[in-house]
Amino acid sequence: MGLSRPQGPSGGPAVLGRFVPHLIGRGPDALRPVRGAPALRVSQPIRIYTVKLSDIRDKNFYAKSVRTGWRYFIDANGPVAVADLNEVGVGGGPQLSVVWSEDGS
Amino acid sequence: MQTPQFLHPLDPLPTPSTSSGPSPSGGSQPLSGTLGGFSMERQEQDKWCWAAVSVSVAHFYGTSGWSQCTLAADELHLDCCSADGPVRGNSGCNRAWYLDSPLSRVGHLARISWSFEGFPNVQNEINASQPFCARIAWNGGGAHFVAVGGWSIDPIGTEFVDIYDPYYGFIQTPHASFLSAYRSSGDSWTHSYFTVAVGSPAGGGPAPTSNSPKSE
Repeated sequence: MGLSRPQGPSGGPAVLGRFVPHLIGRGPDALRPVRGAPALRVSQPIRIYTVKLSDIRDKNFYAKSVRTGWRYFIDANGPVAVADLNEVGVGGGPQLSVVWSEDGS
Repeated sequence: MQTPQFLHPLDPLPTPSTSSGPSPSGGSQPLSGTLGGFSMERQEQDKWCWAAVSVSVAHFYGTSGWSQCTLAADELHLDCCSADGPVRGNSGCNRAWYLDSPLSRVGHLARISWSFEGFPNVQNEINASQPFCARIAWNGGGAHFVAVGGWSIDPIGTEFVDIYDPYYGFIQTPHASFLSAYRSSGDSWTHSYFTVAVGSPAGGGPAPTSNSPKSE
């Protein structure tokens, strides 16, 4: 029996496509190689779970974890950023934050 | 390093739709502001966000001579730069601390605000070449200090802030999300620290502002 990976939200890649091209032109000088990279690609997403600090030592911490969104890797011949897409953002819509790698790893 | 195989296939980043309309300002060009030359040091200890942010602000303004350990040493009155390594633990150097006091010590605290700031204030500070700092209270407990070093508005009007985080690195997120969901829903921007090129006197051993919060 193989492992199955949950499918991400159908509109997720479109949200990334809307925001990432705008965001990539900004930031520290260390990101210059990323800006000049060939076409960016986006990975399949993985689930993000959140657990409160007060619960992390609880033996049932997994049951107390909450699904909060999806994480995509942005790839340019290797991962250059992670984009977290929260399912319900401020105002009710999805929200995106992008964490850029400054060392190419 | 390559993207792990289990996250394949890698799909082309979708092309933005062109049917989203113009920006609220009437143009199609994004608007933005940024602090040229600002960089954030990685925090050297897991509770030294306050030290990394303060030293990074000092270096941006051209104030040299501070490192995270020398600042921690002066703030905590401990030997935090020992060749044997910083004193660890809650009673040692690696501890949650204020941000107003170290920012004042390095000479660049203008004022502290007991709230988040609206996007126009973010724009004003960045356009004046003044980084400002924020305290984030985590939804799950604890708190963290970061610096804001840029802003932008995309062609359809979404307002973004550029966050220089001494732990996570460079993060871009909508301003509306930064207010109450920085890394996850419920994270709250509770305090703002305005900086200035020539601020409070450096090196005098300032005390934290009355009732100012720590990074915990």
